[in-house]
Amino acid sequence: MGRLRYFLLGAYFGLVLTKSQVISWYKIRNMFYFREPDLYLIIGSAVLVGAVSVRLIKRFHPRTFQGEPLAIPGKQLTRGTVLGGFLFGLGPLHLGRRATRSVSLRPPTASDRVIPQIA
Amino acid sequence: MLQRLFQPWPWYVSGPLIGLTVPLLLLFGGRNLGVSSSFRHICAALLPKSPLAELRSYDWRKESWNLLFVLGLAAGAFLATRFLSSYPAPLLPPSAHTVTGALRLLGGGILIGFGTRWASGCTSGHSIMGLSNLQLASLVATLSFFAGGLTAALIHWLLGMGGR
Repeated sequence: MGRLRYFLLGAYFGLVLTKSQVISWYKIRNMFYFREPDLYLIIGSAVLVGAVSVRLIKRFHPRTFQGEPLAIPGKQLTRGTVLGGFLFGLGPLHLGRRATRSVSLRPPTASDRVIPQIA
Repeated sequence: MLQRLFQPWPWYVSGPLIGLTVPLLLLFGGRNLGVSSSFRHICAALLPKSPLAELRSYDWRKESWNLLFVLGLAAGAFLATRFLSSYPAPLLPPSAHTVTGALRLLGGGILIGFGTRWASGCTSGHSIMGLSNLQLASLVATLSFFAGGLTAALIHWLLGMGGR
């Protein structure tokens, strides 16, 4: 496997992020506009699974499958955590603009298009 | 059943699957989930003679797994869009496909890139990995992301942009 595994794990992450549509500007806007709960539920359930996993790994299996010791370093709290975080949060919606008022306010749904039949 | 695979996945499927990336990456690679640190690796790789000691003295090769991970991320997204979707996921509003829209994208990208490095992490590293590891800094970061997003939404609303 070697280093290919990182590519494959990345592909898994990219596939799931895409299929969950968290990459969609509409989804992000709807979260900040409190229009739909999807992103809250997605992040919430992801963190729940992640937190339980980290806890179990620390408790029962603090090594990789290759037998190497596992390090889960902590995160430093700095001024940048707040200020940089704020700028990061501004980013996604920054690109919305006036024209969005006159165009579709929701992402296309399945009923908007002909869905190819899957045999 | 198979049809549903090609639809957007509901939150109770996609959320846990996203969270599962944390143990997979830990157990198979001994690595902590994170995406935006790749910006640092790329900058250090491209600017080996940078006047910034932060970049010059930084050994990005030790973290090159992260670049492979990000490459895989793009490949997985392509796979999902091209072969696993009945219709493409709505990524950007039509207004983004104009000159001013492109400039706004650039501005948003700079805010995201600059902010994420200043905060030492993005939604993956802080909100998923950091929160999973019960880090106070990650909670503060996630709340700050949210404060930024809400501020942008409030400005939109005040200016009548992107409204209903």
